[in-house]
Amino acid sequence: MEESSHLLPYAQRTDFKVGRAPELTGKDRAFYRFLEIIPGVASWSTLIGVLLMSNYAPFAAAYFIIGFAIYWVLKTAFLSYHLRYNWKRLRHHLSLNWQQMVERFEYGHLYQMVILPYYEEPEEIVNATIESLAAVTYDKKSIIVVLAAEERAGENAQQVASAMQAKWGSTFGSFLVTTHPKDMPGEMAGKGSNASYAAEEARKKILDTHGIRYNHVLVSIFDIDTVLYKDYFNCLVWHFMTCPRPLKTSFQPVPIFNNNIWEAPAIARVVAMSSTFWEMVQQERPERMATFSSHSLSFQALYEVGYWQVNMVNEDSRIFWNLLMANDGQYDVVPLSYPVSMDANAAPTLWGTIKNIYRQHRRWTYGVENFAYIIYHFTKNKKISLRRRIVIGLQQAEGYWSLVTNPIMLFILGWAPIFLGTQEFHQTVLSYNLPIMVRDLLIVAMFGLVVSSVISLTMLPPRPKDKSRLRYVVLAVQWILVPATMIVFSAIPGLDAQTRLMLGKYMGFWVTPKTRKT
Amino acid sequence: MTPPTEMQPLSQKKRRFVFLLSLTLFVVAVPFSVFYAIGYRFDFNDEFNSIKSVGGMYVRNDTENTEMFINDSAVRDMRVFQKAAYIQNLESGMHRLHIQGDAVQTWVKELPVYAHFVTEVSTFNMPRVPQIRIITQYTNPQNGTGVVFDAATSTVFSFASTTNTLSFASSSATSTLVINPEYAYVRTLIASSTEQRALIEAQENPKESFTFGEALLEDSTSTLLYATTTQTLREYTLFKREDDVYIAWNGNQEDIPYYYCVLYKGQKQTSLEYGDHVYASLLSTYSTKSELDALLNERVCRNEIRIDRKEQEVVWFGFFPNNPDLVLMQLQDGLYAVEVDDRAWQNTQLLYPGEAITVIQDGGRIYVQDGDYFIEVLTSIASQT
Repeated sequence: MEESSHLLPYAQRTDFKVGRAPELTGKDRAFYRFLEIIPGVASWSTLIGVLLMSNYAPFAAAYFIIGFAIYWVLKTAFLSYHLRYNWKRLRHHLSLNWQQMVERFEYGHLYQMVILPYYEEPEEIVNATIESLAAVTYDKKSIIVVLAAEERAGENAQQVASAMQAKWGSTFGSFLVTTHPKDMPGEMAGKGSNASYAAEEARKKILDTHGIRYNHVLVSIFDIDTVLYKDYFNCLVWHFMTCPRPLKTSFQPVPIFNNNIWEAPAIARVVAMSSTFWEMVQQERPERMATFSSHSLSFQALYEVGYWQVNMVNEDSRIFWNLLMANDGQYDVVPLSYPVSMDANAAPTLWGTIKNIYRQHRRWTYGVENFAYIIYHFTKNKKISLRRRIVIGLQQAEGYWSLVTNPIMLFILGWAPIFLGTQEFHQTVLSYNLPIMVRDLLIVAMFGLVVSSVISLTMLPPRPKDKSRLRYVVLAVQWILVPATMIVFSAIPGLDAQTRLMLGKYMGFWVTPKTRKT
Repeated sequence: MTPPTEMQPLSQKKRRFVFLLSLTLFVVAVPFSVFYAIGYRFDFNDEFNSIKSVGGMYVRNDTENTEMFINDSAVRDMRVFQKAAYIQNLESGMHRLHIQGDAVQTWVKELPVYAHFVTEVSTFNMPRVPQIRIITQYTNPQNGTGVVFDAATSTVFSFASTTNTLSFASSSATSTLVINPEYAYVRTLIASSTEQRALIEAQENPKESFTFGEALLEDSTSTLLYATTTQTLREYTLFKREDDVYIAWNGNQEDIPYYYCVLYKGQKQTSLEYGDHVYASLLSTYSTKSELDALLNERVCRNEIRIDRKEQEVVWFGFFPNNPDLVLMQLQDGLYAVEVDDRAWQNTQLLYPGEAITVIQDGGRIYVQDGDYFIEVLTSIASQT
């Protein structure tokens, strides 16, 4: 039987790491299944409801759509305000000398454990990530690199690991290569199971053998295409040392998907930058944050919940909810407002890019599986304040609902009363004014895109010599694609993911292919 | 000197302020926007700054290079959809709309606009000078132009604008010319139709004068000749009753064209705004007056509309090519395009003058035999002159 005494009391529950309803029994299973169904039902009901309302109650539908368009304009302004502020903060943080700043603290006891799970990514991508790690302004001997390979990835992955160990093994304090065995019982193939295996291996082979205390280790889990800025660990240490409860906190950098931005097609650039901007907005709303993609936290906290979940898709955000539940609500995310660079999702062909972005976003939006987990455990863990449970529950529900419904309602269903409404509606001024008002409000909302466009230009890596200056114009204008990308790469994959969860057709992990022009 | 430090996230205070500001704007903007969309406006000219209700007019206008006027004031190009303009902020009452252009006939209509409602209307502007294409029996093999043997041809058609180039042949010899197959085709069409007209007239209604009708099939390139005076195009039926031509709607009531319907305001106002004929046709649709009056302030529709024949005898009629809102009418003095919409006077625009012409429609084209000439009549200004 697996040792669980190191886990926090709540984390010792058998249902603590439930991934999906069939893993439970009895009433709990029925309740969890009900919670899995709710997001899909809510989104479909909204969309079908707007259609039905447009047909049978077009006047009410028109009023709703006008109100919704105004809400959208104000929401755009509200989010743009947060985005602009975070952009200023990000630039400020990039301008700081964090190495000098952390000197005021005694932090020599801290180790940085970097877990790099990978699958079939080519050697140059793995190498670029480790190269950036070797270039950080931090004592390399305090850095533990864990290169986490997958057995199912075959011999090539092993060769990459061997090459990396040979090249970088002596650069860092420790360089551990782990190989996650395939087909482990109770596991879903994916990043979570690999990372958890790697963390446990690192604990046994490095921390325990060297007598390193778990609360002296900061774990950073990075996607394999993550390129670090030189002061990342100093910035992390600063926030670790200054936050109220460092061992009960995750630290979230801003993932900027711009490693390959100059090579990626416009659609990939817009989607990638939109994802970055969303994370930047969230950085100014930490109470709404969960961890996403690359992030850092103490090994102690991680160990107390048994690492990342191995039986679900979005382990990067789930780990935060695990920690929140296990710590009875006494757990936070601290936004670093410091970037890490990652790849925009770009395949060799445009169609391949479109397919990959869709699949990637379907995987991300499958994070809706967290909704059932959160609400389920909120009903179980009464030590978390009721207010916090209600606030988080509503925020999550609104988030998943609006992600799917808002773009479709605004850009498609906004016109539904005109096409579906009754003759009585069609002869009214309201019927004629509706498309004009929605159009005008959307134009006003486009101001948010102007802000996005300007900010995106300032976040570009240096222009390669083979790229014309005119490319900047394209990069500025590309934001007109946003209405389409919001529907195709946000709302529809979100609805796809929610529908799968609603129907019990659970998704598996899909690895985003990483390719880079050399 | 204070050492540089990290920048704190947005404070709760600022975020709350922005949120409350947004919420306030939302609460204020929504009712204002809804009231605006419904058709309420502040009347700043009124000394009490009262709120007034407005309606609008939605005008479909296919003709290029025309100007639109409402109550003799030019309408800015306010098109929200292609080939249509939405005129907003019109107060309740009768509004005179006219569309004019340099080379086209002017279209005028006076229609009521009600508060919170939009009056729909379709306009049309036929060429002021008839646009014709003369179909010659022969063409010149060298340049493809039509060949005429009568030098007076150009003066015969001086009232019209000929869109094709003709060349005069001094000799009547045709051996060097190319036979134009269209000429033979049109001649056969007109001959057969004339023959059939005579035959049907003799067989079916020997005692009364007979008017032959044609239906343009929706998806065909040819016309069908019916052995009755009734023609059908999609859900429309065009027929003659006594001396008048009517167009009836046979389709779903939800799809009925707007001009069959009016917002019923009682007998007096309906007659005043739309004319006695509209009220009469409504009354004939709703068997009793009380049944009609029960629908006060509701949209009421008729099923048939009489086409204005300018008090002349109808010689021939047919659906207008690609436009069910218009009817082709050959009256005693020429061929006309007449609009179906009878909520005010029906605009009637001359396409081709002539008392002794034969008209036939085929595949969306209008052919006329005028004397020895076969002509295609065009309904828009041709670019080639």
